[in-house]
Amino acid sequence: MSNIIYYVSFILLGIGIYGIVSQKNLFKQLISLSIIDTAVNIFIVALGYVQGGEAPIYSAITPVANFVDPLPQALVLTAIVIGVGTLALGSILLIHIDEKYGSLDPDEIRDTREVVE
Amino acid sequence: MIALLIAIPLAFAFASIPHERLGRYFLPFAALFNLVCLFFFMQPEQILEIGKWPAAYGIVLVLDSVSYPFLIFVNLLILLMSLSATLENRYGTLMLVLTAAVNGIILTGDFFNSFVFLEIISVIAYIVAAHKDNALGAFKYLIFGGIGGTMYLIGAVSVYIKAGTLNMAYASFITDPLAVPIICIFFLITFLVELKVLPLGLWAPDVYSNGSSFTPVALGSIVTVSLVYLFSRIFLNIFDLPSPELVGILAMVSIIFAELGALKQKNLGRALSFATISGISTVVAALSIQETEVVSAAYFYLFNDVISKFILFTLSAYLGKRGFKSNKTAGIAFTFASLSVIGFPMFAGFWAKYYLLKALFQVDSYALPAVILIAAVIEAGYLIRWNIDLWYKDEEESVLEHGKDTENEEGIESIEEIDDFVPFGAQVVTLILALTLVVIGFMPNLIHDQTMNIANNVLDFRPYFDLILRGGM
Repeated sequence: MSNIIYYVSFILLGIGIYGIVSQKNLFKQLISLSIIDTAVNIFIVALGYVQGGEAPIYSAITPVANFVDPLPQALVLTAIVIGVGTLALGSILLIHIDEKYGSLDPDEIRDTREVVE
Repeated sequence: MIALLIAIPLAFAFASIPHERLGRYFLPFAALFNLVCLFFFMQPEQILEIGKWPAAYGIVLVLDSVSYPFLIFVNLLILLMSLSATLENRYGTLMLVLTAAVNGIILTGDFFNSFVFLEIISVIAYIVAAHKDNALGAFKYLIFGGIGGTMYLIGAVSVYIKAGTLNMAYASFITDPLAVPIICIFFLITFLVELKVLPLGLWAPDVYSNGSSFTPVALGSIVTVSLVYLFSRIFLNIFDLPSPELVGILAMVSIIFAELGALKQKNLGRALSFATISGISTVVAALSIQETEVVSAAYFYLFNDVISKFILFTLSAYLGKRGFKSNKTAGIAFTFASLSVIGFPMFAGFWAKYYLLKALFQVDSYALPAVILIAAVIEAGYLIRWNIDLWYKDEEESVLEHGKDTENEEGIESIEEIDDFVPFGAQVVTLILALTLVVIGFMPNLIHDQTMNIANNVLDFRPYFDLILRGGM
């Protein structure tokens, strides 16, 4: 049962990769990339999880407690920030693409480019 | 002290935010500061433990005999780019952050820290790739780079799970025989994307051919050199490359397809993009052999390829539809760089190919030499064709057409502007680099001695680990 979170992250990873490979719409590809990011973040948090573990804060009450590993949580915070930045940048690029070509579909973009050239 | 190499460009970047105009003027100073520090105040074999945390627990910055020459080379390229490229105001700040990030990725001895620097480089690379209204090419790169970055993160976290530390030196003690190849495959995917090995490097032609004077130089030269360093550190120094034969075959296929792609192109920028893919794939193929002589020759090849492509991309960005008739200085630099890429005698490229072929024959490797020779023939075909085309171009006609296209009835004015279509800074920088290729053509030991030293050190894990063990003294 405790492994279910790993399966969830792998399923999400598969969905994300499938989305990038199968979807033609550029916005759907960006969302697929975001799903992959989420899958990896869930995977990393799950690695540091300890069943029945305490928050990793040393105090007089918990001098020797069953702490969860705090490092993966710290890593995932950084990864989330980077992921959000990439998502925002990708969205800006898509807005520019839509303004220039009037579409986010690669076939329609190609047709527009051929007409322009 | 070594943290200054990251901190100073970053401080300049922050300082340039309220004064956007100053960013591009800060850039050469930041690069020059780093070079002065490296030459006069810093010597190899230094380590900095951030926050005084010992290596296994905290982040360390390492300046050793491998990272030192790479840092000099990268900062020199940044300095030259800042003098030769036409940087718009807002790109100055970005380039300063890029300077901090490439110095950081070369110095760091921590996997997660290298992931953070890699992502900073990637985000700047996406923005730089979008220059000249090239959002589509940049988006393609973002998707490929995003997947690559995610794979690197999985690799870094897997290292932590298996080794209990993110420190690169300590990570090499992972004993699980199954874990190491799996971790390395994650890292490898990232490098195949970022080092543009086909098919994962398919984003590159759209990005490098955007017509900007700094996008291909920043990404194809500066970022590439820093990532070749990281590739070497991870796969030659810390871990072993997983299935080197397979990586070699993939890189060789990439060389051939890239050269054929370059031959087919009718746009100079795209032809050079494919040529860059071929060049870096050759370096990856050679590094995958993991023998001292071959690795040394691979670094020599990288040096020649990066310098030559710097010249070719910079000049091609300024050329537009014009030729060399009215600017012979640019033409000479372009031709010298082309001849060096081909491997013509008396140029650095000749020695790059000679050392590589000689080293490969010494280790009984015959497939890669065959591919390199075929690639050289194809390269000669399209680069000579481009040179002839640009030297004998009927300039007045082409410029008139170009002028009419862009400025309606102001074609005559365009002809008057021909004389200085390549800025003075770019002319000087490209000419100096072209002459450097000639000088190295006559004195190859200037570079060969250095690359042998790097190769000897990168293939020997002990000095690196000893340095980490000694700590921040």
